[in-house]
Amino acid sequence: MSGAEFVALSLTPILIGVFAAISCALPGNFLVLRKQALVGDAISHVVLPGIVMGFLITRSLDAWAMLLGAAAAALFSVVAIDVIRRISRIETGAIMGVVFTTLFALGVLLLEQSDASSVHLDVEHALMGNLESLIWLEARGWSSLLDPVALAQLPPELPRLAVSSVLILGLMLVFWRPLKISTFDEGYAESLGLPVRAISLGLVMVAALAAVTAFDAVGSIIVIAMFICPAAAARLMTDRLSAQIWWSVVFASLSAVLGYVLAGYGPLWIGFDHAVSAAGMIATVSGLILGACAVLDPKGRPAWIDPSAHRRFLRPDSRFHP
Amino acid sequence: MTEDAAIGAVLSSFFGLGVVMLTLIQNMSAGQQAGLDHLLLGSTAAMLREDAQIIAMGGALVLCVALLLHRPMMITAFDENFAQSLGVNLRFIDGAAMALILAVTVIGLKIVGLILIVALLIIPSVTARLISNRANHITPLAGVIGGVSGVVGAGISSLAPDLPTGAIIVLVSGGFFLLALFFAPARGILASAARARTFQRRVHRRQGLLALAQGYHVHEPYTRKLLQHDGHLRADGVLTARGEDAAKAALRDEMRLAYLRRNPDYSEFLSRHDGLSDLSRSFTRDELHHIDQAMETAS
Repeated sequence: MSGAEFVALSLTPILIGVFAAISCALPGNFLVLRKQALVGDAISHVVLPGIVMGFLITRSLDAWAMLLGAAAAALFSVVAIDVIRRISRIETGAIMGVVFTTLFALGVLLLEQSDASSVHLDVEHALMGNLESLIWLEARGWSSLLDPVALAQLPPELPRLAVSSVLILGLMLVFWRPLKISTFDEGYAESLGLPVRAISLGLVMVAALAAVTAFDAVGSIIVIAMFICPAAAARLMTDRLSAQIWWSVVFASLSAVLGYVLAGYGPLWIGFDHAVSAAGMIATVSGLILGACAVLDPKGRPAWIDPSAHRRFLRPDSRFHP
Repeated sequence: MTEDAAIGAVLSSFFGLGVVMLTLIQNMSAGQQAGLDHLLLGSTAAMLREDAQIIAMGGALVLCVALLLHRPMMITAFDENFAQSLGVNLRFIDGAAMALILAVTVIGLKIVGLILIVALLIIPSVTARLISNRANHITPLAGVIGGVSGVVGAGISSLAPDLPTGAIIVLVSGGFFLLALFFAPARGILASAARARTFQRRVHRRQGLLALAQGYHVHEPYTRKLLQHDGHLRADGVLTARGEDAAKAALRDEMRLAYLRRNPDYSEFLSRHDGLSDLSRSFTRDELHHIDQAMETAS
């Protein structure tokens, strides 16, 4: 494949996939550590009614209307889950299930009732995204990356996802200490005077931001997988939070690139005519990476993977010196 | 790894694999397969007589197994250690529960869709949990709520052409959940509000009587209103004869409580009391007598 063809047809979907994966994986680390992994699942369900509402109110397919609608729906569901939990004293998981299935059903009803399904809005699109169609037709090769006229024709999803992943990374760095403390020891964080509930809500809102921006381009399968799989795999690599975050970024990028390439070219290599769903393949690859990490169990393995494993081995109070 | 992370990881990566295979099949047979949204939302309108029969039979089978395993499942749900000590095979029960859920999902997937199945697994049970605290009531109640949601939802969706049956059924059961959230006897919003209000009244009464017994005046209008309503206080803020007695009793209880709290030997004894109601409701007359004597000897 020539450079021109690659830049026009594959570069932008791959970059969009990578940015979507990273922006979901970053908050995913904290969700997994806080045992809130399924929050990502719930949010990505709630995004559907939000997007349909955004469309119904503004009557346009403008991305910002949909993003706002989805963010409002995510905020509503988080607050509703919290309020119902406080009133009814029922397990959070059960309430989450009630809220997100009901809101999803509402989204489906709105979609069927409105004329939204006749335009570019349907359940299949919401699940699988349209990663393959986000191509850059203006590109004439690698030199187009320096050509402002061609750059102006980039799919709008790419700058949007790039901005959101940078924003999420920035927020994470700014709030690193309070986030870290409240994730590992909520009681200690509270005793330091940190606003524990606000931090928790803020984390969920950042996750919602990631889900909403990624959702439009890549669909909810990738969103759910990227919240959990890279972070869980990274957790198996190390016991240090900063190292875990970097591992999760590596795994997320790897899943996106490998998944897209396998979906686009894999079937052709083994003799099929058509490509398969890139979103599905990216999620599958992330699951495979997690599976490999679980089987190989790198912690306690050579120190080049994780220096802290080495230190743990040498500590006098470790299990080797009871 | 924690359980929820494992669930989410397996869920999403297998879903992705499913989508990959679905696109593969769709490409191979030139788009003759049903779209993904049919599996998600179901196709109730296209249900055949045989489909209905399969669902009815499968449902009856699941119900029978659930009834047979009802007791060990219930015990396992509440206390795994106790269940094990009774000789219940925990892995078998877990496996059976999973198998039942799987059976329901597979039976219903094609017709009613994935969303409806997930929703109906959760919403009726949580609604029943709101209404009752008794496990023996929750299970049949959840069944009834699910059944009624199905009938009502299907009825509503047949009224207009564009109403998706699965979504309407979920929304009807969600409506039942909201009703229960407001009106449930113990956990509902109204019941909680009523309880909070009763508690507030009791605190006001008690604090008002204590203040009056120690010779202070009560200026707070709500407390005065409550005490007047009880016939303990005159409009000019002076205790009635009955009010004198009640105030004295409140003060005596308060002194007894203070004595009990000072004395660590009584901590277990004290845990019977909520700190607010009459002591005679938490302790017997002999016990109160004993406390009074102990207080006298102490002073």
